[in-house]
Amino acid sequence: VTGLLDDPVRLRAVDDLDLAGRPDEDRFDRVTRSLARVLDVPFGLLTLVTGDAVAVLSTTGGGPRRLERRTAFCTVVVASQDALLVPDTAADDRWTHGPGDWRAYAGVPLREPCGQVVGTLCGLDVRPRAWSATDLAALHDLSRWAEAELARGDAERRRTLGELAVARMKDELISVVSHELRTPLTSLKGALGLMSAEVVGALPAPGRELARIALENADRLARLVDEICDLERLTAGQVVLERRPHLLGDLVRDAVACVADQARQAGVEVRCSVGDVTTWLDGARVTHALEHLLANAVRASCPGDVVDVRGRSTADGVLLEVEDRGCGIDPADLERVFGSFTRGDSSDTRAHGGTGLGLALARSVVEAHGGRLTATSAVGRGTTLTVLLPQRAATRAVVA
Amino acid sequence: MTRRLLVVDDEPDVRAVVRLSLEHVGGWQVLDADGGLAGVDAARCSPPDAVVLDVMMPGTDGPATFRLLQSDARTADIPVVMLTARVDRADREAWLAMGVRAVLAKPFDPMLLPAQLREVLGWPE
Repeated sequence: VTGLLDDPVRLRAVDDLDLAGRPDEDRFDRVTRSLARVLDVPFGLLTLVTGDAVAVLSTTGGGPRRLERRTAFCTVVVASQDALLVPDTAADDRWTHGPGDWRAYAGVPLREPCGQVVGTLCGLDVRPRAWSATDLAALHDLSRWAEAELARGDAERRRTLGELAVARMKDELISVVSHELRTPLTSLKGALGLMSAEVVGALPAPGRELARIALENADRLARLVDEICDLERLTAGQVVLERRPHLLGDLVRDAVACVADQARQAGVEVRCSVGDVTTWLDGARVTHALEHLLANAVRASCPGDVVDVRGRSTADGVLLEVEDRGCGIDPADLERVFGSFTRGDSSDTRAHGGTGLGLALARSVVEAHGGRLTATSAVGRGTTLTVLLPQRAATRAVVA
Repeated sequence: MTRRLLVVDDEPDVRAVVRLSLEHVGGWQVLDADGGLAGVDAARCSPPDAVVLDVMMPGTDGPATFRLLQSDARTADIPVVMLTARVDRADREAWLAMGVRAVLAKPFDPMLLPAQLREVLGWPE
């Protein structure tokens, strides 16, 4: 019978459950507690019999979590794949080497979903005990419950593995798609760029206008591909931040310069008021995130409006605010603007010109730094986007 | 003296656009090759002043092509600039560590590409 004990298929099934050595789980404790009550024994145990030991997944009476296979009754249950009732270990010469304090044992095998016996559910007593048919029937009933719990854990684990596989596939897909999209975009942008600049020949006025429209949209597509890739990598935690000491004012100035053209075209003034704060950040990414916040504020503004950028050090960290005086966002929709491809007002996407990913990206960058990006708004009065970055980071920069 | 550049890329449209940009905006002479081995052959026959090299190509890819160029005395000193749709920082750093002069991103602006090349290659205006 010991052949079944070390059958490779059985041992793989035990390993696949991935439960041995796990900390206590309530779901198994509920089974053993019920068992101890129903059989009226001090010890109710749920075990897995692995290749080299008996792992106790749950016990009502304490004691070791790992028993030697050689001396455990559970080994016999698994090897024989059958119930085992031992009324008095002292009266049974099979147990001369058995575990000291236990005098009575009643155990049944537990099977995993494919039918392999992986462990036991058993009751033990420190006194001899004449097991009844009712005791055995109760054990069998409870073993079905225990098996359901084992199967549930198995299903959850398989789902986690499945999710990991899906995440890996998604990463691969994104990397392939981004390359496959960038290659035609390279030709498209290149051809349109040369055409618009008329370096290979003059265009009639309508042709120049068409080339300009085509180029702008190729640029927009290229930006979108970049942002989708960035966002995926940030949310997947694949981005390693390159933190360096930066003056907050420098980062803000760079970001403002990036949106200067857009602001001028929109007739919007961007005003900065940033304190002398040293931060410890990935400068390129934070500037990029700020650029998105500013671009968003400029898009929300009307000609003649002012966008204010304020930055200072507070007790909670480095605080940055970007305030516009645009149409505002209904408070009920505030969180939604940080989602992908959403805008405060979905009715006029064309006029906005953003990719719909800017705020989601900005939030990912801020969160990667351990900070928070939030929005407050009043319809008709404008929106304030607030970035709070941990101050600890700034202090470290000074020390370093 | 007019500079000569070798463009290695497996995509004919990308080759055409890079060629036009370098010829018309940069004012340079351009040779091109549709793959890594063809590029190495072209560089050996008639060493250019610089190589603009794609990364993801079937068969001999950009890094492999670069190593072949490095391993031959006739081509070892030619500066190589990679032009790639792959933007991974780790890749970029690995290529720079191999001795690639610079890594430029695709898509690129054809009106700015010659100036960017001039800058990374240290060529005067």
